[in-house]
Amino acid sequence: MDKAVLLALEDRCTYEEPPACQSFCPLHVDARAIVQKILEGKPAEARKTLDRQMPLAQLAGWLCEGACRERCLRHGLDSGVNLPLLELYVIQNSKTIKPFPMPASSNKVAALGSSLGALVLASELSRKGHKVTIYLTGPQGGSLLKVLERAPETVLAETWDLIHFLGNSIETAPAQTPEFLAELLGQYRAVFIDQGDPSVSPSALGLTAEELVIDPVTSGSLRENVYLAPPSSVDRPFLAALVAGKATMGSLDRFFQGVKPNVAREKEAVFPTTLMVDISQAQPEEAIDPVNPFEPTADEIKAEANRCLKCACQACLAVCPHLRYFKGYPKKYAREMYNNIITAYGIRTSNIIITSCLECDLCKEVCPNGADVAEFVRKARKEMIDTNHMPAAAHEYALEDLLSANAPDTAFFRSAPNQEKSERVFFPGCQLVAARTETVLKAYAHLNQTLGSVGLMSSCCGAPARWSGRSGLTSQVAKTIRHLWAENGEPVFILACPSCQLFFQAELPEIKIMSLWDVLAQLPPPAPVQSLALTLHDPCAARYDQALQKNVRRLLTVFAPKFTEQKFSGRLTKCCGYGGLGAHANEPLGFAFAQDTVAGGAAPLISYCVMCRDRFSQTGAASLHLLDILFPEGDLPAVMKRAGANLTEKRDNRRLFRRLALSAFWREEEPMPTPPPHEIVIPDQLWAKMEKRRVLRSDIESVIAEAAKNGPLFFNQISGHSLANLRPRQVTFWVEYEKDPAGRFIVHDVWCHRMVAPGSPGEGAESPATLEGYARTGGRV
Amino acid sequence: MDRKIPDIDITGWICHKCQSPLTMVQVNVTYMGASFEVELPSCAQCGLTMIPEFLAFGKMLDVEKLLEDK
Ligand code: SF4
Ligand code: SF4
Ligand code: SF4
Ligand SMILES: [Zn+2]
Repeated sequence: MDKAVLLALEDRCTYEEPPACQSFCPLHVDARAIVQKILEGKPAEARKTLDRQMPLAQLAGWLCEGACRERCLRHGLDSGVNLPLLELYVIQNSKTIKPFPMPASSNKVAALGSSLGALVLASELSRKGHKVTIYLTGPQGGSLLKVLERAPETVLAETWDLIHFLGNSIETAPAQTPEFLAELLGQYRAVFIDQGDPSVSPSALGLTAEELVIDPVTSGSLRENVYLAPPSSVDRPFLAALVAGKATMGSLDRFFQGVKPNVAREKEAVFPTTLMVDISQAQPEEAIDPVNPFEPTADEIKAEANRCLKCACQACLAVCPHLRYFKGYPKKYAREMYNNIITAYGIRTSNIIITSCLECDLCKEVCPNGADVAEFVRKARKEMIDTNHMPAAAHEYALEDLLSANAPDTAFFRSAPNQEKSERVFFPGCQLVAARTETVLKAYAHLNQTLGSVGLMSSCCGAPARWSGRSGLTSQVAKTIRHLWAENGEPVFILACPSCQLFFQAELPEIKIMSLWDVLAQLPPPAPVQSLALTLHDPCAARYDQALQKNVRRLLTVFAPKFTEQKFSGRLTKCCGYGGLGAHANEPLGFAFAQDTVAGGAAPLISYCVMCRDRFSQTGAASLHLLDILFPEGDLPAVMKRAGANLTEKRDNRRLFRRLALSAFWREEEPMPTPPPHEIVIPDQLWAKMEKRRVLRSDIESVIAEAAKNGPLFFNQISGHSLANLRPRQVTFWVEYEKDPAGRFIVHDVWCHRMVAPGSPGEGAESPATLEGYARTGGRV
Repeated sequence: MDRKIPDIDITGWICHKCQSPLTMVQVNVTYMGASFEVELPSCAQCGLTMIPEFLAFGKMLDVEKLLEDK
């Protein structure tokens, strides 16, 4: 896989960008993490986070004036979270870890003046072995009066102790003259001039105003090897001193290693973050006013921490259960999926992330940067197929279903009755034919009567092959359709299923298509108006098809005028879980999708994709397909509660559709299918398990047929049950049964597995879900 | 690989062809080109192997998934 594919997704997802409080904090303190740890009741953990960015936190925590507050996203709402107060609480409720004194390096530094900047530099630099000599320029203590207005004397005393402990030294400076500065520069590798100390006099040292302009990145000056802390007259002087100390340390660290002080420091300046945060749901809440602002209580701090919105981009995560399921976010998934694809040896642990996506495109629509997970997944799947790394079980059933729908006993193409060629062909799609067999026949009759010259084609369009990333099978199916279309006078295809429509647009652009709903909207009404209140659901395949969405609404306005919209509709509609075969690869997640989507509508749902309709009904929700109100079959309240056809019924129904249609419209009588030679009884309670494990009635029949011929494999002397198995494809089916006195086979249990144990009949059978298999099973219609 | 599976209930089952009881035997199961040993109830005489349901939907399924991700 091309790395550009990874970057395309990675670059667009800004989830990892810092929140505004952090990007605008000159120290870049990770306040969001600190809030989180405070709320978890772990101030010691919060301290570790604080220590990473804030130098000399035990003192600085008393002082920082908080540049973050006015950048906090709460600022516009009420007031920014009081992060300085939270930090004060953290240092008051955690221990300061005493550093280990390092042996002295040869890099010696002088600090002139002894205010906050010098203390920060000395304590931080000496941890790495670079000792600092602090030159006092005035009476001891005078330099730190401002600090003592906020921080207790004990904390300051401890800071001096620490500075001594780390091997730094304190001297008294002689008169401040240019010669003295020159002397220091000769003796030390660098000199830090702490202008925060009122007794420091840069002009006496011979520094011009021009030389005193501080480089915001390095804290250096125009005089070589001279670094500066700003005077206390600047805005937020404490924070400015902390920044100067920290920046100088970064510069000297580089300098001592022979690297230029300004190398790789892009991330140190403040910057506006690109993190997108939706605060539309945030409620105003006034900041707490602590009783003692120098000693906030745990309750006060909790309340304040709770005001933090924990700024994060949730746009796609909020709408997609798949993205939430694996506990990450697109940028992280992009890397995981990419690493998965390029894995040469070992387990590909992220296959499931790739196969669970519905390719529904919703994330791209809600992401402020248009990060396109679906596009990545499509490419990843194709590559997995091409390199033979797609887990066989993920899509096998869906592909077998495709092949069965296109098998000669099921699929057909006919021009309109009594016509050699017809202008149009109705292509209802394999799922609709399977789920609404009779209704589709009625719809076809209606089209023929009112429109005339409409042929009929029943087959699968090939969408599952495309979803699974199998380009060979996809084009093979498309080729069959194209061939029939060309041979039969290039009719316009009338499509009922939005997924078919997408498939035709992508794979068969030469075929002119129309949506059934467009056609029906222009024909005389087939049905009475319904007074039901319904919620319209747009299938995800219709996301970008505004004409289709409009036509459906036009029909509904006439036939069910009381309909309302789903919470997520049109371009922002949610998928039922079937898209991209996600529900095949990850059934629990597919179910979560259906539930999530159902939750967007109060009234019974109506969709114009029958997969949505059936999946909604699996969650227990009342739902209809658009055809149900146009060609009603029975009482609608009953229809909307009806369960969808099961897998076995679907296959039977497609075959039935062929027989009924050929007989009713073309007077072609097909022989009745031969009933299985044995009467087999499958108890009702077994069907749920069969659905879950994708066992068909025909699978059971083939095992029983084998057992009836050659005898079962095992027999239970206590229960009297027999056990037989067969491996008709890449799955071995086991059936536990009993023959009753009337000669019927009563099935007690069924299970299956893909592994091969020695001695199963049919061992070595391969799945037909391959191109070769497709050719063998007769991909012709 | 040691894949002992405890407590398989094979009470009452016999091989239909040989009418012999089943015993636990190490057999080789294969999937996607990988093979491994697992103890399964098999006919004492002809060696025919039985894969009970709880194994098919339990441990076997886990191993299948693992091998598919290889
Ligand atoms: S919406 Fe999703 S993909 Fe886009 S930036 Fe946010 S987290 Fe990343
Ligand atoms: S709400 Fe919290 S995370 Fe967001 S900017 Fe404010 S302090 Fe930072
Ligand atoms: S399921 Fe849909 S919204 Fe979720 S990641 Fe896949 S394409 Fe995006
Ligand atoms: Zn035997």
